Amino acid sequence: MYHFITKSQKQQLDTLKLEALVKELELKTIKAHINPHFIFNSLNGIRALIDEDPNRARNAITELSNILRSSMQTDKLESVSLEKELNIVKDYLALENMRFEDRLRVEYEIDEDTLDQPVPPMMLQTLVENAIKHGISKQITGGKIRIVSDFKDHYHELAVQNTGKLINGTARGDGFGLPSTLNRLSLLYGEKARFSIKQLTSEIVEARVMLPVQMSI
Amino acid sequence: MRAIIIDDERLARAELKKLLQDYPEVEVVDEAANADEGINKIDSLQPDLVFLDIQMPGKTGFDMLAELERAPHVIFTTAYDEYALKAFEVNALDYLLKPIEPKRLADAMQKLHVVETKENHIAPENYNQSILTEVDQVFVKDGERCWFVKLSDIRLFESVGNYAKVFFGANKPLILKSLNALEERLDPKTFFRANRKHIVNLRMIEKIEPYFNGGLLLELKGGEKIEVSRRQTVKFKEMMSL
Repeated sequence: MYHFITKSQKQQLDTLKLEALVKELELKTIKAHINPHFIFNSLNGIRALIDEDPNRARNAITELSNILRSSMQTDKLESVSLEKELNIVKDYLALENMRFEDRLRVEYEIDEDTLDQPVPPMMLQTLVENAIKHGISKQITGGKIRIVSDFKDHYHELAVQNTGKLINGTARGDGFGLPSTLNRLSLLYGEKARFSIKQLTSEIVEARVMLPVQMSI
Repeated sequence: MRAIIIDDERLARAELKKLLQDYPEVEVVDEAANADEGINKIDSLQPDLVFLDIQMPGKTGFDMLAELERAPHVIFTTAYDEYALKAFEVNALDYLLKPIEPKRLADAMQKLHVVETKENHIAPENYNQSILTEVDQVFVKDGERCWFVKLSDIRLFESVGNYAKVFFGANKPLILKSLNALEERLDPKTFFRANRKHIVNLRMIEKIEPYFNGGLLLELKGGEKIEVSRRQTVKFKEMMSL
């Protein structure tokens, strides 16, 4: 009898260990993602800028380095401050601006008090990448991206709005961005976080994440 | 050789133009930032060569090609090779990954010269732009699959409502073109309207048999059996006796 109990306890422990490992691995594969299209198109743009605007080319290399570094480093982190995440997003959008030029306009609406809030690394980045991929890059005349961070009803609200249309009124969950975002939120926060994507107006799509507010000590 | 660059990114076009400076035989006559602009410019300028980006806003490069009457020589340019294999499958002249390696561009240019020389050799002297001859190629897109097809490789066009089924090799994709519209554009020396539903390539006929009612039955190299209507049989015999 005793023997049986220890054995089953050990089994339980093994199962838990395994689950933790799976969770960790899942997070890793999610974080490591950066769209190769983006990397190579950026490099191509930089190559052209070397003659046209050497200063812009040098800045672009720094921006790309920051993004690549953060995508590697975040493997080790469960969360970063919104401020850090926003820096990456700004570098990313600066590079997309180099490619899209006047086809991409960006607006930020950030409540400064939210800058210290912890957020899952590269999550806002993934949402912005999606907004470019499914929104701006599909529009011949381009469009606008608006990034909002605010406190709302005891939640930290993060929203990315972009010019575009959801196909058949719903987001296609077959890509990488949406399933991975949902996955990460439920792995990190369980039921305490919410995610939605919807057609805000006839021209604007909004992806929105509601995270539990972390009180500073 | 006159070329057009089609890419939605201005910097990408600038970079390619710069690389092409090493090839004085290639004159970049225009550029386009999307598929619709590309179609207009190809139609009006009739370039010998098109450098074509695949992912563009509105329509992809593949969609654009499928809308063209006659497919020019195409070198695909793409940033990431998820599409490269597809471009290769469709028998493009070549594809280049961005940023473009000068050595790879040199290889592509070499391939182009080989093809050009071959074609100048067989192109008829009184080449008529409005008629599609055997040396022309068309771009066929059926759902996710696409092909560059030489007209000389097409055995048969079959009418299916507003569409036409194109028979070549083991494939028979549908294109959004009526048989009548096709007949107007195809070279009558090679393509023959056998009946209401079929246009056959005369060089792809394997066997000719008499059929009832004074008609004929053609067997094509792919095994397809096509009936020639009585009225067209008269015409067919006239053509064959020449």
